[in-house]
Amino acid sequence: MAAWLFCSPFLIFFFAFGLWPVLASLLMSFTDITSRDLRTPFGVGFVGLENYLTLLADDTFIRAVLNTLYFVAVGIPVTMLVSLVAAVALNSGINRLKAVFRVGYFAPVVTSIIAVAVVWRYMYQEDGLFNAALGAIGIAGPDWLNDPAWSMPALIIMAVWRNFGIPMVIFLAGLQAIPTELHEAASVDGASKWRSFRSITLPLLKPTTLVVAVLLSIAYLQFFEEPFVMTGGGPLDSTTSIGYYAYEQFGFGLYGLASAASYVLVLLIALLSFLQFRLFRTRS
Amino acid sequence: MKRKALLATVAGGVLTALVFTGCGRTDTAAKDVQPGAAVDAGPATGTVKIWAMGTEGEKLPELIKGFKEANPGATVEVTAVPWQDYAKKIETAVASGSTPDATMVGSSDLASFVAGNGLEAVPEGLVDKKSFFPGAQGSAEIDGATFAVPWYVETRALFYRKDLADAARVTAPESWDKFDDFAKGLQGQGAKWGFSAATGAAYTWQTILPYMWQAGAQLTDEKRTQLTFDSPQALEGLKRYQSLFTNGIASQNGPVNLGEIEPKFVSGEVGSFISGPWEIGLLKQAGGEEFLSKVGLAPVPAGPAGNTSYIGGSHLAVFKDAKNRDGAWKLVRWLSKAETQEQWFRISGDLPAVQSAWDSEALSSDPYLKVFGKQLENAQNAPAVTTWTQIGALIDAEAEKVAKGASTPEEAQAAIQSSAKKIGTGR
Repeated sequence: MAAWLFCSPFLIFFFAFGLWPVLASLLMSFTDITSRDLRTPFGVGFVGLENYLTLLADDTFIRAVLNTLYFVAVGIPVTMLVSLVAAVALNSGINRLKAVFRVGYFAPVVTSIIAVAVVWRYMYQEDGLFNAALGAIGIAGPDWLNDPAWSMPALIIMAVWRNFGIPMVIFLAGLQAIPTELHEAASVDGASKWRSFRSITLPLLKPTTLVVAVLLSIAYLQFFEEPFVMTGGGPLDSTTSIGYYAYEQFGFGLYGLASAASYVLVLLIALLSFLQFRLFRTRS
Repeated sequence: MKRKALLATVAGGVLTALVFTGCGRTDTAAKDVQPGAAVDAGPATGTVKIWAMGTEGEKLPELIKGFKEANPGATVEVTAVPWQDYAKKIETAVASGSTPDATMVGSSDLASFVAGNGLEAVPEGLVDKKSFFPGAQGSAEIDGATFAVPWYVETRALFYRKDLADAARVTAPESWDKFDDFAKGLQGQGAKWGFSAATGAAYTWQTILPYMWQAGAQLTDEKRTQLTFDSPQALEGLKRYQSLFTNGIASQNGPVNLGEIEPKFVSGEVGSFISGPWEIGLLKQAGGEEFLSKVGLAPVPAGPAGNTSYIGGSHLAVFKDAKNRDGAWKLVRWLSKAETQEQWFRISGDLPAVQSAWDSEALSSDPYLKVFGKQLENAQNAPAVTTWTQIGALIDAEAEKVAKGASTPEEAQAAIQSSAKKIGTGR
């Protein structure tokens, strides 16, 4: 009894601000609730799976799901590769400016997305920095944000730059946990740097890699900020994500439909995390 | 097994909750809306809390001083709210019953707030409805009742590079057919694009609807219960829009962000565009005071049915949950007096919604404002239906496809009409 009493402040907060909103939005996804019901919520009707069926019939939503999967499928491997390379470079110890680089690589993570967006939009313009750089080596760059084929790669490049800081730090920790004796023994045996990286570092980083993969997939499935500030989901819906789609429906006051879209996202995240944890268990 | 049990519990909870809430929405039919009780002519008392967005939020306190002099017993608290997401803030306030007394409302957003059921209808006889521009008054009337009082208006006219036009020996075009030659003339003088049009960014519909009106389209039936984008006139408007791109006058990747167009206009990359009165200030910022001598302003070119432009602006509305309801309406009444409106123009540059305020020296002597004033006589607002936010976004998306050549005007029209029919007018 006393235990419950002591726990109750937390429990009350948890139910009121944690569990209840989650359940309420699940509930809402089965109703036709709209913004007009907020003042008088007693006329909301139960519509079963209708919202989910509406989503399935909506080309824009299907497109949003595909875009999200595209972002995840390309963004995660690239982010992991970049962060691993950065971590290894920082860990190699050759560089005396290590701290400076560490700050530099991590700075995008803490920079406001709005500030980032303003600068990157300029860089992505047809006559912007990227195309000037590409032009210098003889490549005619695309009109990044206005070409439906290039808008997604453009956002992925930006997202990788913005997000590789935290995986890098995790990799760095993983790298520093590898006993130096192993590498020393390998070099005594005459192994090359690349060989010892492939046969010692990579296998020992496997648990770290999987943690990074799970964290990134949860974060990247919620792909929202980049299209929100950079493209508004366009051009031609090429960067609309599930999160952005749900946001738009909330904006129209269609709370039922928006909740349903959010729960499709929840399901996807759950599914992907489940698969990754299965992988994690068998491998380690 | 555990998971199944959990699912069953959740499903059970959902069902119980739904049984308790019951079914059947109580729709407030149009005829049921009664105007609020009359407000007396005496001075206001007590505290009036009002929300205002953007520049208005910053400058309103200065104007309010006059109100306080005339109503010594009243104090006004102005809260500045950013335009971004202000709609969600108002919706949340209505839902939780913690609203201020009055608020400023963007004219095309009013309908969706009325649907939220949080606004009181304007009391009978509070203001003379005929004193406002018809387009502004029309957008305050939803489902046959008036829910807000027009405060300031804006309309769109054609901005063009006078220096380029003079060099090309073309004058501001009065009709669609003459427009293309005009734009090509500007291009002959070095402009990359003769004209700039929105191509799918938010509020592109404000570009599309005027083309439809100019072709003679009515976008709703008489009672505003049906959306009628399927008329031949609406199609003609869409075709006109498409021709801007197929004729090479406008870029298929029109401005995406605010503030993108002014530098291009100053540099001469863009020869002309359609925008509102705020643009004069922005051009002054982007090109300096002397640049304005190169800027020409003309009414929008006419289609077969005239040169109807878009009218926007803001209204003032009072919440049903207002604590000082009478005070709020008295403040609104004071703000819509011709003298107040003229004074407000001098403080903020906002154009008066009251027609007679335009006779004042400050407004009638300005050559730019003369053009806007003339255009205001022929300007329309988006159909005042409660689902407009959604339909507007739908038009934005279909317009983008037309502009980028991903669909034809016919396909876009069919898509707009069928989706608009599905969305409905909110009744």
